[in-house]
Amino acid sequence: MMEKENISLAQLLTLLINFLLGSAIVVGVGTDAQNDAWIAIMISSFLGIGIVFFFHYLNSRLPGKNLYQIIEFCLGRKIAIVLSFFYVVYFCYISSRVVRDFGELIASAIMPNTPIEIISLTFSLLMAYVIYLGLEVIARTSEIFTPYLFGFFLLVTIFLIMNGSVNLERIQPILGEGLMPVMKTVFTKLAFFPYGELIVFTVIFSNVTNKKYSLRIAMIGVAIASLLLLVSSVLMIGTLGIDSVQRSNFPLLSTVRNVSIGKFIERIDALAVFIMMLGIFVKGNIFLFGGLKGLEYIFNLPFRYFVLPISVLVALFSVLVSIDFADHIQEGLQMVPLYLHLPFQFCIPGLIFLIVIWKQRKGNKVK
Amino acid sequence: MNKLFLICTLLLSVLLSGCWDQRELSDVSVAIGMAVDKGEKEKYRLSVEGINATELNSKTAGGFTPSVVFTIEGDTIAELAQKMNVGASKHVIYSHMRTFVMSEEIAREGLISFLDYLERNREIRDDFNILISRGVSPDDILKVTYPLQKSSSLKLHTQLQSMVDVWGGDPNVRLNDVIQALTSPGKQPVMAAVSVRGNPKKGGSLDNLKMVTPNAMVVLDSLAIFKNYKLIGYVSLDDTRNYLWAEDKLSRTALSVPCGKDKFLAAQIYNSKTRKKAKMVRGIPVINISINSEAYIDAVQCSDDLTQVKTYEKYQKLAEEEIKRKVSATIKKVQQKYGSDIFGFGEDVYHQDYRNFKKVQNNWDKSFKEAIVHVYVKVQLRRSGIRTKSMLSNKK
Repeated sequence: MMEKENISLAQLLTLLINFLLGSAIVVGVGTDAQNDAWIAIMISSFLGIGIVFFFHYLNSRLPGKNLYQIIEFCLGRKIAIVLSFFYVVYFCYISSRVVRDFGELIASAIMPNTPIEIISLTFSLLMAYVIYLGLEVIARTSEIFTPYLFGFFLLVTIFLIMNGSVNLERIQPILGEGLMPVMKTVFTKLAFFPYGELIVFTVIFSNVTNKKYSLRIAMIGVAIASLLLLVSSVLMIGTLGIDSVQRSNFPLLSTVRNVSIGKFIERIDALAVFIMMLGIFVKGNIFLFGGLKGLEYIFNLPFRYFVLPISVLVALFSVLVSIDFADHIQEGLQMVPLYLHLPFQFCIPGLIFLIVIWKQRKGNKVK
Repeated sequence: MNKLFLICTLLLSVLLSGCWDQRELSDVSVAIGMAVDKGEKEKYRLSVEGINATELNSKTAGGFTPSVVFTIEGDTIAELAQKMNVGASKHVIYSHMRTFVMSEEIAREGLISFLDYLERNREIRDDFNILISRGVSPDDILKVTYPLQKSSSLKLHTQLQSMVDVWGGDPNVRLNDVIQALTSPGKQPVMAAVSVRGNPKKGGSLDNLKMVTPNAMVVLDSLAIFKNYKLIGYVSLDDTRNYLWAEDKLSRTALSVPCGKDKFLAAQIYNSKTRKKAKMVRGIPVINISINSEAYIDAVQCSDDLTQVKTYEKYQKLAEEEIKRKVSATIKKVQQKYGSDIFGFGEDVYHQDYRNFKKVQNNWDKSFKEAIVHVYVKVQLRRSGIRTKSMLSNKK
């Protein structure tokens, strides 16, 4: 009934990179660690590789099954339906948060007179269209646009350095307060956002054709994305200084706005917005896809039936999810990690992992 | 099917017709200068200079005023900026602002919280000069016309950049630098101060454009020093250059060095690099500033033989001593008279000796006054223009 979609390794790689950049590069990550944000990102990249290894391993224990089918394997269909339902809500919720991030960016920095509802709606309809065409199309879109992402990122870096605005002295003192604040940032912030969100890839790993190299590629993808985040963090701190970065809603945008080379190359906000938009697009899409796959599992109907209603719901909730920007950020940084990320990203997968191992060992013994 | 296609096209045309934010060029007027003064009744008085683009183009100019300055009063700059249509006809946009002037009075009283608006507003970019009007009201600065670049704001922007490029009398600060210095525990901001030479009342007229020596001219006056969000004083343009030297921001300058009794040589300094090493020694900050410059000789009033290496070495030494004397004098003056760390020594200590800086962070102003500053200068004299010996050396 439900056809199997396949994505290649290169597509997986670009999906991972865009996914991790996604909203992380929009709002800036690791700034709790002050000047050492880049060290925090560096350390957490190893954590991120570990996390992707764990999720991939969970998937590879039961080849061809996605997260929901793994839950069914462990707990039976009845409980799995309940749990899947929670995951569907979680994924759709995060998807609408991601769309909201983008809406806030546009509404506060690019087009303040345009209602955020219109931006959310158009963006969600676009996501709906791409998802309706299937995972392969999301993957191909991301594959096609990723070279532009790298190109623009490189351009922004070169422009900032040519402009003379990157002053590496600003990242000193290195580890002035010791390692503790850095580690705290890594484990309380970065582990959940962006790395923990890779949980949604447990729905996608099973679609990768080349099983042999998919783990390696997934780890490389996380490493590349972390490198980009690290470079952007050094650029941001070097250009604005940590104080300004912390006061910026969209630090990368503020950084890029500084570029003015020979009164000719200036106002290149569009490059930064492209990087952000692609990341948001892929991230929102993948979360939405994860949610839809859950509905497919629950109702035993192809997920395409749900695309339009759910994406319109995502658009709606991206507007309703918070009344103002402060509410949005506070919810995202204080409530969500503790009450949603922690259980959905680590507790439940960890539990399921243990049950999978236990069941498989028991199965082996019976044989 | 056809109907569906039609509906889709109609819907898309609604969505794609453009955003709410589009604004045609004919509907906007570009503000290039802003001036903030203390209001008489309300908190601030904002003057905005809007340009008359047809007058700036020599082909279309018809001899009318190149710019219009309009002034209103209110409590926040943000509100006033949107209220300009009390007088102005079109939608005023601020994205191309070139000059921002604030009055001395406002700066002295520390009423500079409007900087937040400049930083927060998405339209305003960090590429304008931020200035203090010394002794004159800031809107006079915007009003004085200038024959070559008719609008005052444009003239100031170009003037200050040229100054930075050839002599270095402008600290070359942007909003970001000011705000970074304001928020940093070990640095205080500076701004260039401008003034009007002549009669400011006569400067705001097209007649001013017709004079060989204009009735009024906006001139770069001095360097304004801040401390704890307040303007506390000025130092001269010479000190500004020394400040730039210490800050490693000097790109080029010409320096007169005494080489005998009432005799000087002029050295063009280029490629100047400054490194600062800072640390705390027994609770007292010790700053080592080493300046490395290249130079060539531009003029000599002494009769030494410039074909000899010896002369080069002698002049090098003289130039080094002169620079050292000047830079140290400026630092000493700021330390003793103002006690405001405009050189960012605190920031250097913060970067290079963090643990010890933390102990004195709250008392940095006191530590700055005590700081021991060593200046080391190395000048490499490279060449001497297109003559060797001076004509003076063959004097009959």
